Amino acid sequence: MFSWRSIGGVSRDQEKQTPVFEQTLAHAKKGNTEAMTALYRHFLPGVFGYITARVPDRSTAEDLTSEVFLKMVEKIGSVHATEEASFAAWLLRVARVTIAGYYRQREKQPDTVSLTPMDKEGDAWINESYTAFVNHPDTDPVLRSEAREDWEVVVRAINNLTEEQRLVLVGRLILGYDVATMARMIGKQANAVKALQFRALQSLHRLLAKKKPSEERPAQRHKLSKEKIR
Amino acid sequence: MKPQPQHHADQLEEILSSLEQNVPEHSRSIVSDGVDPEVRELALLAQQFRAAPSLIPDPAFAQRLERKVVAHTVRHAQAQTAQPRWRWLIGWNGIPRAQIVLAALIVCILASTGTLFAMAATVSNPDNPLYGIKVWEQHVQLSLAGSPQSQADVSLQIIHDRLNVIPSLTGTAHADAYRQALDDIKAQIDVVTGVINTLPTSSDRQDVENKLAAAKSTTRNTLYGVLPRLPLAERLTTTTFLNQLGAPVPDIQNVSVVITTHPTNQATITVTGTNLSSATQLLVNNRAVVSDCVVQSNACVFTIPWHGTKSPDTIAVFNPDGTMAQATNILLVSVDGNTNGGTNGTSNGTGNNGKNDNGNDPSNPNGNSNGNEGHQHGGGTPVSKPDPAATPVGKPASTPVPHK
Repeated sequence: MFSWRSIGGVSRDQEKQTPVFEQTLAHAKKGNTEAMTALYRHFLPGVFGYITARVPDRSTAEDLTSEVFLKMVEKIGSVHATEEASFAAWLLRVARVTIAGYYRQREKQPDTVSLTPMDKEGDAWINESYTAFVNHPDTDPVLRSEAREDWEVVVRAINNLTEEQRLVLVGRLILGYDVATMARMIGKQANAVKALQFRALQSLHRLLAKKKPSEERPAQRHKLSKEKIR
Repeated sequence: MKPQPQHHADQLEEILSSLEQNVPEHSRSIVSDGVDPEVRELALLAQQFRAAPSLIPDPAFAQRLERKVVAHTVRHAQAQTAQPRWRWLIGWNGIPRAQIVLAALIVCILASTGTLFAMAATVSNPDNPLYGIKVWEQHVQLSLAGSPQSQADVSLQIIHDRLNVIPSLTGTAHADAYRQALDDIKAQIDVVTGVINTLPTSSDRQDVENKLAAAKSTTRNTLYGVLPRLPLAERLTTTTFLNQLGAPVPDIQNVSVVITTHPTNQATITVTGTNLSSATQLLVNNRAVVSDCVVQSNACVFTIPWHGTKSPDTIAVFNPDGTMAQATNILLVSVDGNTNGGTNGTSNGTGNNGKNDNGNDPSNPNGNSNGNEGHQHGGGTPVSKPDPAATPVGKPASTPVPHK
């Protein structure tokens, strides 16, 4: 453990020097800012990856990630977990509840109508903008739109998995936990974790194969749907 | 041999583990022979998923959020310090913690139950609803008493409690409660006596015997104290109980009545029994009659004014200490010298339940013999007491006759 992808200049060596997780957690519970920062750095990739795999756009993922970590700061004092697996399970539960809250709220909101012109005039505007950014992956709206559409397909596919399958995927592939840790996190046997991982990837593969937006809707590539503008 | 799905799952896990550990590509099983094509595809998908740029947070965002987290931690710590001490009772969502609420509820129930029992323990008024709880509590204590001594202690405590209550039960309204209290005392005396019988001769036994003797003495004193205020029936019951406690009480063996109509209307009532003295007073038909007892051997002879030839229904006597006895058999010996020889034999020892309440001469059922102010006439000539309200039992000059 402590083997997640480094963020913000924290190297693996630095991570290895991190005090034992239990001590860090204990200090963080007492409101120690350094310990809290260490926890944040440690769990950010996992939490962000878990959230971003569940919501359609990056800005929402960032908002929800912020929300999760602020909740972590507020509630850490009442968490019973003392070791990493159980704390990670708790944090991902907070993330799950936050995501569920986001979707509930979204359902309650009335559908918004796009103010972006969709007629010929609008297409002309798109075309003008398009020529300026073409072939630049960061700024090219076409490439960005494609990437977003593709990612939306992935998100939809991941949302179709069971919660346990999602947890295993995120835990194994994003958080980098081994099978034994995952087994402790979700309270199952190692073989069950392996089976869940296999079935999760199988389902994901099947779902992604079914829904390739760029193959399904080539003509609609530049058309901004109502949903996307939201 | 493992079933195929499990074999595939193991294969996949093996590949993913080797990828995590940066195993050189040429030795990875993902490219090795014998790997199921589906597993290989899934491993590739996992690799793509793992490396998806969408899943990696933007460093700028990460730094921004880190500053936010630190600031929030500081603010939260300050807020926690500033919060009142009772804040721990409230959950993070502002709702009182369920455990706290439950514990508070249990404490309240226990406290209120304890308070209820404590309040019940101090109750001495049988009309108070808590009195029932007190009685129940005492019976529970009695049944839970572990040793004979502790059983005796509980019984003695019950006796003392009842004795404390008894003075407030002298009214006719509390007749039932009074009898119940007496019954309880009798029962507990029996319990303690039984305990004594089970104990070997020892200091413990002596101690219990002394306590019982003291309790009996207290009981006698208390009962003597309340006797003058008791209704007739309760006074008879109490006298019987005092007799059981070894107190000297009057006892009637038989009563004979001689009625003469000439030259004067009078009746000579001879009460034979024990513990009778010249101070013994007479009750005829539940009414006190002023008449001196002329003691003859073990009998008291009373001469009272009497109208008619009908024998009295009830005859009772009472001593100055308030104890009394009632005749169960009255022998009408003669009327004007004619031997009668019959007994009415109808007296049940509890009087006539106050039905003879006309305040007149007990021998005059019509209630028309009035004007007698209750004073003795003619140098001690006994007269009937026409006004029951002015006729005391035991204290003929001031206390009204009690009726049941």
